[in-house]
Amino acid sequence: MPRSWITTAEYTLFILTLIALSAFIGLPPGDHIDLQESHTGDTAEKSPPDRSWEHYLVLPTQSERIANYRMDVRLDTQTNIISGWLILEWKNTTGRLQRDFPFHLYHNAWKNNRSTYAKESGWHLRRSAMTDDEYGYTNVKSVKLLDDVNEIDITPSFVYIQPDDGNKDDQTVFQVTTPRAIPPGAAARFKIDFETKQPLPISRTGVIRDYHFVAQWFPKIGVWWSGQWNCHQFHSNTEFFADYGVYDVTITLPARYVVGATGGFPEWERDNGDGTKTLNFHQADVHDFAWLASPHLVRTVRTFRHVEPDPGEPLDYHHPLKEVTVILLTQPHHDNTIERYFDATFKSLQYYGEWYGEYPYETVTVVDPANGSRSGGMEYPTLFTGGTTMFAPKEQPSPESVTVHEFGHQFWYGLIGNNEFEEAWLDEGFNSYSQARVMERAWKPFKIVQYFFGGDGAGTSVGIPYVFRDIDQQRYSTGNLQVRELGTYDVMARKGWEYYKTYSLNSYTKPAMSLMMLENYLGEETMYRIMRTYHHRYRYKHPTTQDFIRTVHEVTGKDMNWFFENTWFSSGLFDYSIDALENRRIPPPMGIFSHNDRSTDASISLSGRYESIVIVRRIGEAVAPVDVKIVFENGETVREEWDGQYRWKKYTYVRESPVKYAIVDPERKLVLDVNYNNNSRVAREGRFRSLAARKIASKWMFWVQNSLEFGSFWH
Amino acid sequence: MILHAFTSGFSQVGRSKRLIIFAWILNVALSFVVVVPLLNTLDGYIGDTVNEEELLQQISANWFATFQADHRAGDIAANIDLTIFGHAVFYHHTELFLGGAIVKRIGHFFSDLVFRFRVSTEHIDLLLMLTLLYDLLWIFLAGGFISLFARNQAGSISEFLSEGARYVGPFLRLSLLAVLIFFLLFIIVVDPITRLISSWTEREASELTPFVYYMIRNIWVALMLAFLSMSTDYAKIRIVVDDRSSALVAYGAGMWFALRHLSHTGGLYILLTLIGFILISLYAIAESQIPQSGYTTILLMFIIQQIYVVMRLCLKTGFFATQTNLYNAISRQEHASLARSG
Repeated sequence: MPRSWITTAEYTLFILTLIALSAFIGLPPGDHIDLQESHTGDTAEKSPPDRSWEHYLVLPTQSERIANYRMDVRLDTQTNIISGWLILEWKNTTGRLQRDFPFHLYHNAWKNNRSTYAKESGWHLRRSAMTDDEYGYTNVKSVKLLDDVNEIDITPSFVYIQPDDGNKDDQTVFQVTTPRAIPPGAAARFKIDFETKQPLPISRTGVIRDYHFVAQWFPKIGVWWSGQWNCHQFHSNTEFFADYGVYDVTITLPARYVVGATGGFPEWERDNGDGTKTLNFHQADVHDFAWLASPHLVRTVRTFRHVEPDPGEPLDYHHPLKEVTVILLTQPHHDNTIERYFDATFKSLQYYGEWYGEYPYETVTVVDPANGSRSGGMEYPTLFTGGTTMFAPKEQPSPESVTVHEFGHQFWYGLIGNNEFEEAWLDEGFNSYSQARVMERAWKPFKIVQYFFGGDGAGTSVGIPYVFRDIDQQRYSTGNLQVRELGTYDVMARKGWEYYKTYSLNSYTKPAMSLMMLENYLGEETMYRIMRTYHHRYRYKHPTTQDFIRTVHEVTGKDMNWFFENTWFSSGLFDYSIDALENRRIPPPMGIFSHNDRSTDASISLSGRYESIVIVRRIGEAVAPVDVKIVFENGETVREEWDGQYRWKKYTYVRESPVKYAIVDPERKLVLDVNYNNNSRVAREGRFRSLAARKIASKWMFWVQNSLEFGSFWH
Repeated sequence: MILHAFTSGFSQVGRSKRLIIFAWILNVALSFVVVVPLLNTLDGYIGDTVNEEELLQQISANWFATFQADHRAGDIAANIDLTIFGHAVFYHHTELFLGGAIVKRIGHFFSDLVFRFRVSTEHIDLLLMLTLLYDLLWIFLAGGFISLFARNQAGSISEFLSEGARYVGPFLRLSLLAVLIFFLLFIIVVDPITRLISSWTEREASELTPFVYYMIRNIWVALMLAFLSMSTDYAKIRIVVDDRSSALVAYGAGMWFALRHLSHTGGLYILLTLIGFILISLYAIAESQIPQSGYTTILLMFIIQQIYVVMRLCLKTGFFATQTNLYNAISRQEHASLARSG
């Protein structure tokens, strides 16, 4: 046989095999539907929303300033001990006499492995072996009650208390008793000498190398709330709660250290001439004071100036906002992240300010945390920490996502001072919702990114990033699964330390998704009004869940209890499906159509038409009204509203044309639906072969083929 | 010498198209064992929903996560992850390869069997079984390929198969030896180094430090694996060309040969590896340029994928052919110089 024939035969064999294999993909499908075809475009020009209500909202200019602290401390960078004193002026706004005063000592959570924090973490401090020098504590040396002339030593009344769990080894709350009661309207002044030993970084505070992140570091009075003291022990999941006040803090430390703190720039700074310097920070109307110091921080300062909206921008929320000085402290190797931090902070200042109310402080300090400091992604008044890696590609929202989130806490935690111990969703959930909105508004969709060829190191993970350019990051992309997996474990509205596995779900994911769902049900404009009203009304206050619900009812004028009962106060899941879609051609009439020899021809006209049945089912326990969209072959679209009360609902149509497809909740208002895959049903012709399935399967096939090849390398 | 071995080797590969297509068909057939069930699963999962249309436009991370969650343990679909998209497959498999994932699973399975008398099924799944089967097939095919290349013949399928059968015994022993060496390399050297990097750099200020360490580790592991693979290749060549039967001796001889002529063997290996990178790059470019949202483009991409697999098989056999030619050339040169000196 001639060689050229063989060659031709070989090529032919290959091509024929390839063609045969291509049958795997299948023949061109002919009955794909156009999801856009039946969308009724709302081309009518929308009239501008009525915003007259905004004029009645007034932001308070300052807080009640109940707990005011003056402190003078020194950081010893050799021993990692902060020592000094504080004077607390506490105003009695409780309306009754007060003698017993509880204080938080958060740092004692990291004193040993018997604290409640350690116990709830599994009898450890979330670190491998620690030396004694790596634990932390706050030691109260003395407590004095000051009046105009006297100092009364009340240290003998000092006692540790454990209001939550009775764990006698836990020293995160102490109480002192004054010899005389503090009457309503009067102020008590306490002078406390203390020293705080910084631990190895454990929970957003501590020291690593020469990076000191100093948070929850001083004795801090509890909050008189709902008729009693609210001063919880520090738990492994929970965060904080404190009254607003004025902080005036003087810090002495080695002169070469760069310092960032609540309050931004120091009021004054002094070189002590002995290799140390002293700085004074001042900030009013905040409920905490945090600071950090390291000789390696790089400080960049810029000013946020509010940009006028472009003409024709959708849904104008524009409100003029004041200038804010943004102080960025980055790690020396993170030069490439500076622009991204500023961009994210500026966008956050803009959107949070426009939506909820102006950011009231002069400065905000953004901290790029040191690797291994475990201080990333945390919020304090006028200061927050981001976190990123030098390898993050621009398609990955790092540091954008964490920056927006932690900045957002200036509003939801900072300005709205809810009780984070008991109702964490009011800050984490509200902020996650707001963060998602800012991310969507301010940037094009980010992409999924995965790191390869690296591992753990420098307190983080490193590797070479791979960007999945065809796959967008979606809001709450795994939220529905989280709800599906853990949603039935707990009712959302519970205290932070009482959840079983669900702190993250019920503090962040579910409340954020609930708020998005509420927005979908009420509309963006109404939601804007609710959130803005709530924020204005409760700025510098300690609102509760019920305060928010009341605001919703008031703003909407509707009874929205069904919503909260099925989301915040329920562990039920939402899952709606199109259970069946059937089209039957109505046969010609057969049989007897008469009564007493008088013919009845009423149903004859149905001949040749289609009876279409769509059954919508509520699989989950949670109930919400849903829309059902039914599209017929001829393009006709019917929308039904189902209250979702009973388990299923049957819709029957008799038309010239059969139903093409049906979707329950077509706009995906029901964000908490745990399975969108069953929300639609398409009447496919014959034995439909999914092209999307072939698209994915062909990629899987290529993956497997490569896997086989890689797997056979070693021999 | 390298270029001559390279050109003559690929010329031999060019004459073995039927055999390569045969190898490709085997590759396809084995992959179908896990692809067809997944396709059926996807058909049922997507087919009568509007996700069909949405997924054709864009893969949704939410949908994908839901699909994964709905198909957990015991399901073929549980194996798929996002690395099937784009060209992440190369990153993923290279990472698994540099971490010795497959070798370690096989090694752990056998060490549990031998030392603990326990059948540890957690190390074994259908995908690994297929990989092992594919390995066995290639142990067989390698004999055929090297034998034909060594004799510089196109050869018929029957000759190819009979030569494959002839060397399957020593090649199997050689492969077992290779897997043992790879396993020990990962367990004794690579994994402890990885743990050391993690603990050494735990308190480093900059993530650049661990990154550099990991990259050095990766390059070092890649070089080690390349050398060991090269040694196995030359051991096979020596078994065929020198008609050796001891896998152990052949392995030592192969390693010695690779080491003694490192500039040639290593140069050729690097050249072939570069071609591999070019192939991957071409695929990546094509993949990123073709929007796979319709029938035609999905089919086109599928054909490109298969062409890539065939090219890769050509490269794989190219390794055998060019290395056999290099071995023969060096051996001839050595004999000639021995003869001259003798």
